[in-house]
Amino acid sequence: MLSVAFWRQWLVFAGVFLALAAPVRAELVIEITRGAVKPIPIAIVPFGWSGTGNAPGDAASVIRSDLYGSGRFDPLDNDVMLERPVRGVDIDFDNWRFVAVDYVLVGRLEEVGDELALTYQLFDVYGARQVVADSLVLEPRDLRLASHRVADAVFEAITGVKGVFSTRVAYISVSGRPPERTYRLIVADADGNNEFVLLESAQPIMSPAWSPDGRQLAYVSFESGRAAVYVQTLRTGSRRAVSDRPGVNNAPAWSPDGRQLALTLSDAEGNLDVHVLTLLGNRLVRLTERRSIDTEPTWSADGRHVYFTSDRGGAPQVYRIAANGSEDAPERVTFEGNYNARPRVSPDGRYLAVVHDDRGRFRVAVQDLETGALQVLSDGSLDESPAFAPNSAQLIYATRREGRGVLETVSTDGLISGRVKSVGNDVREPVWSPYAR
Amino acid sequence: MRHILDNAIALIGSVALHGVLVALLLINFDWGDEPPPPVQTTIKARIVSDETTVSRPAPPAEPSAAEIAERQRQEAAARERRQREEAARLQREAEAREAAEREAQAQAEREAQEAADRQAREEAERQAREAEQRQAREEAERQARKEAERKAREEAERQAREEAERRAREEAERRAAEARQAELDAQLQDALEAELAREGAIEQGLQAKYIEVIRQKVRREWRVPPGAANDIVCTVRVRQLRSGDVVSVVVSDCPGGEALSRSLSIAVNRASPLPPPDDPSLFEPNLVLRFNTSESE
Repeated sequence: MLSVAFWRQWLVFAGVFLALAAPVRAELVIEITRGAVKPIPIAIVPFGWSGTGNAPGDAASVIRSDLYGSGRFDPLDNDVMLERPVRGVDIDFDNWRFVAVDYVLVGRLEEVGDELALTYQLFDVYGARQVVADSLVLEPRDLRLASHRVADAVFEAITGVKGVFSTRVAYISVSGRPPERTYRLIVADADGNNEFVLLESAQPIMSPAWSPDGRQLAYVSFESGRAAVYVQTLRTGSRRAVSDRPGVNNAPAWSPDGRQLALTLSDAEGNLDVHVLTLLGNRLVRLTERRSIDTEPTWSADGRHVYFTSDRGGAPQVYRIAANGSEDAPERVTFEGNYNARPRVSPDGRYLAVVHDDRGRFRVAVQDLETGALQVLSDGSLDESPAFAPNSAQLIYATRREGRGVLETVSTDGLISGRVKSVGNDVREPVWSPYAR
Repeated sequence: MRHILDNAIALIGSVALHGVLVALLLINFDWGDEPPPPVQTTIKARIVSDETTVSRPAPPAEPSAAEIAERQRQEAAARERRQREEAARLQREAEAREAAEREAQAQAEREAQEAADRQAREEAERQAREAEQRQAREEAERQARKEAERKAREEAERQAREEAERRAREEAERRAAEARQAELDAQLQDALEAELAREGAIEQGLQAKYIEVIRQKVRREWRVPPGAANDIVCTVRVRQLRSGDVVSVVVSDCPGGEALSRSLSIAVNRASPLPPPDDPSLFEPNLVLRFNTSESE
């Protein structure tokens, strides 16, 4: 028996929604619902400014918000700082030991012609040693991005994990009430700022997927009246349909080299199977041939295999098959419980994220691909669409709270949880961008 | 002795003979004022003999011419006779004297020869005797020396033997003493170790407890970086003052990267001052603490 949840998303294909475009601006704010037991105390001293007029932005505030939002840091309030140095040489470490911070970040923004120079230095307070320092030259409009980059560097220096503050998240926002609904494909900074609507449609938009270089998004749109797969370039907005076959064209997933898309296509009888489409030349290879539902493909980190959900064993489980079509029979990967679907492989190749039926509740879980151990990470009842951050240390997924679709995050170790608050709209199917290349 | 006596008799004999001859000369020719030849010249036999040959003029006569002539003739005849007799006597005497002298000389020579022979013999004998004596003495000395050497050698050997024996005895005694001492020491050491072990166990337990209290305080302050792998063990060397204030922290053997090492260093500093031991004597200024990234909080 296939569960209701498994089928829920497929019902979308049957429904015909007619909606008027009603632009409603979504607002995302990340709220930490469970932070580290011992967040790292850090002081982010307001940055200095040397230039004409007021500073073009508050870099320290952005960095502070990023680090706090990670759930792993406990930034010191500005009003209890005993000094506000902007250079390392001016730091009196006793002032920072006194307020018991482990690290202090100082920096300054300088006007250099039409550009800005953002300089920062991170110090280990007890060791009185500089940990990391750099100077970035940027255009004034990129100050926020540059600030996220500083936060990334600080995060990495302290935690040993690459920060993801400068990355972005794509998701689907739905507003309005049937039959007047608006679907938007939105790209925003990882902290929810700088939202940008990539596509707006009265017809459903689904399954966004980042190209490995972060420049393109593949997605499914019903704008033509039936599901077709499109690829859109973010910078130019140009797009093209890469799979618009009769029947179902769904669930695109980029191969790690960006040359292929794994897709779910239906045959004449409506049977769903996993295919691999080579974008250059439009060559299609069918990977599965069964009278079962084989869908939701995703690639292994090395690009040699495709993981997918199949009910061939009776209940949905994750299987793996060679990406080049050389294997007839896929290998089953998940065994714990009677429902594991919607697989995603972490960029480092260590984990497989799935939606797992945890005693009647659908939750995000990760399976260690080496040991096979499965750990449930989320605590909702209708959690779906998990996606890894590019550092593999965090996941974003969709769930329902108070009747609305919301986005939540959880660390891969399960220790830290956050909620991406949206105002008004349903949000669903988040997907984290790769690192900018 | 006999030779000396013989020599003495010969000498006396010779002196007596010369004395008789001189007396004869004095009696017969002592007409002049010439002093008699000194007695002491007796050994100058030849000289005496020469003097006796010196002719002396007769005393002047005072008779008549015939008588005088006769007497002179008679006297001349007598004188001639006497002279002849005297000459003969002298001749005889001279001969006798010569013979005596020869005899004396021969005797003297003989005696001298005898004396020389005797002397030579004696000398030879003396020398032989001396040689013999010397030889004997030398032999004796050699023997004595050999004996002395032998004795000395024997003495030395004896002494050496005795010394060796003494030493061996002493060595044996010393060893025995040492063995006894070693056994005593060992017994003492065993006793001491047993005591120390007993105390050590108590102290180690207390010390271990003290260090674990410190370790736990550090662990509570430790924020394991999320990037650190599980089951990484790091060693932290801490130096603290009596007050518990941390002086230095060195993280070693920490294969988890810089962020992990730093996190431990920070944890130790955050835990400063470190808790003191219950018993001040257990205070340890240099601590070695180990932490595992999988230690859960």
